[in-house]
Amino acid sequence: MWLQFAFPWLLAGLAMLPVLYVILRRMPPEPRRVVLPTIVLLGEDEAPPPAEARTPWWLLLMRLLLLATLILGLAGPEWRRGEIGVVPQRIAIVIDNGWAAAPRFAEMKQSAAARLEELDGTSTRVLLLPTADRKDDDAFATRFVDPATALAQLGAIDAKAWDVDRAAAAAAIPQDSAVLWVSDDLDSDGAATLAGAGGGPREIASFPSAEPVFLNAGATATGWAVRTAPMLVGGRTAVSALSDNGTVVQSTPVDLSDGTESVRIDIPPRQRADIVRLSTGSGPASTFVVRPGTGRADVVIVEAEGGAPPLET
Amino acid sequence: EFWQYRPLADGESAARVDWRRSARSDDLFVREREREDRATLHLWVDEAPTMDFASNGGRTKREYASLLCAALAVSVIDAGELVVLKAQGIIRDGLDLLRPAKPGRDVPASRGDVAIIASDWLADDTKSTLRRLSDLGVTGVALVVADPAECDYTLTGTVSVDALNGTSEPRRLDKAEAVSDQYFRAWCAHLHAVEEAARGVGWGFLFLRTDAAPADSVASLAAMIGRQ
Repeated sequence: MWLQFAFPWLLAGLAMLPVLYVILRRMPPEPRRVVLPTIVLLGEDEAPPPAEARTPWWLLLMRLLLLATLILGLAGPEWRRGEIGVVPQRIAIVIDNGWAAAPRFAEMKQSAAARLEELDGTSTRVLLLPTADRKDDDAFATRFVDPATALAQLGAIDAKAWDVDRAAAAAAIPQDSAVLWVSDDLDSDGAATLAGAGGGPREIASFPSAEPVFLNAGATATGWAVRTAPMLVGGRTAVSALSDNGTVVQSTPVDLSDGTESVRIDIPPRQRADIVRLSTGSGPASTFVVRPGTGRADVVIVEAEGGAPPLET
Repeated sequence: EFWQYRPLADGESAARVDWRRSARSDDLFVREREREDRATLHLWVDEAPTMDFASNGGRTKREYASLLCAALAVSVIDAGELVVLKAQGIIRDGLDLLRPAKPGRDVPASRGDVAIIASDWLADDTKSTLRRLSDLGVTGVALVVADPAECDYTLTGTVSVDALNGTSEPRRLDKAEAVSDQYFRAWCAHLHAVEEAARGVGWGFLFLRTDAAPADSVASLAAMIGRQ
């Protein structure tokens, strides 16, 4: 059942077609009835012959077809093209729910849910594998369930604040299973393993973040060096340094469009101690929390002897 | 009334001799009197269903024609003449025209009578009535009664026109205003044809609209009767 409708109730309008048929059949409206005895004086050939009183059937058919098409169009048909043409016997749906997936996690869940809805009513068994759910607090036993149950399980999955473990997910996929990997598009250890997991048809749905994603950041002598994941869209952005009350202390424009992944930002020493966060966007993956005190200069007082410098950082 | 004295013809009855006149001469004379035939007015109001048409709630053509004829009949009866209605015979009261018709003994028209044919002349038998009466030596007036809507063609748009004659199907016109010229030509030709037919047999021709003041119309009709 690949053709689905966004507003299926509008299809009830199709039931109105017979009514429309009657209405259209009556068009054009009945002429006004008047009385004029002397009309007999007007010869039959002097007045143009009246047009066809009834709508020709082919015009009627075209109008009804047009209306039917309109109703079908308004009902919002969605042609769900099956990536996995044949409905598989078993499918493992792997969904990245680590910190990098947070900005678009709702879309990722929707994508997985759409597949589950397609499979609903078939005999397919589904294994749902969130990659960031660690083994010790895994809410789901790694077993195959029917699509409706998997859909309910999917609703309970949230993005986590920690990293994904794709290798563990890959290990849980049986050899005869098809795989749908709803990915956050961020490379990690085990990604290649997961991409080759399973024995059936494999499919990857990628949801790369629209904002730069911090991979790491470290203090330097003059500020911070940040490393971001390669961006697919956009590029010009700014790295903002924020104090603990949310004030932007400094904003450094950066251009990440040419594949640059590392950016250095310099912050004066006086302000460096105030910085608690670095941010390049609104999402959690675009925010890097600086370890408190990272930016503060460690001061060591050393006993001075001779001409040695009194202070050392 | 006295008409003339004429000599007694051979073989004529002696009882007819007017002795007073004959005494004044040698010949025998017969006194002749004027034949006292009362003038007869025949009123023929068309009974075709098309006469029952009135636009804008006015008088129908039949009502208007009956009204004119009734007014005329009242004055004619007052003058001591006879009024004959078709299929009702001689009437004593001109207002009978305004009442439901009572069948009576038909009085055929004869030479010298005067007739009024009040009609819209849309039915074929009206002209044949005119011919029949004129063949009998009757003279009179061909009165055309017309509704304003028939004179001023005002149809527009898509209409289904009922001729009200009880026989033809309603006529469908898609753009009624587009044939107004053709209608007026046909309408004028119709009036001309009636006029030709009337004048051809020496009758008068009168055209009256039902929205004209009845008094004026009666005057016109009476004047035209007087000329016949």
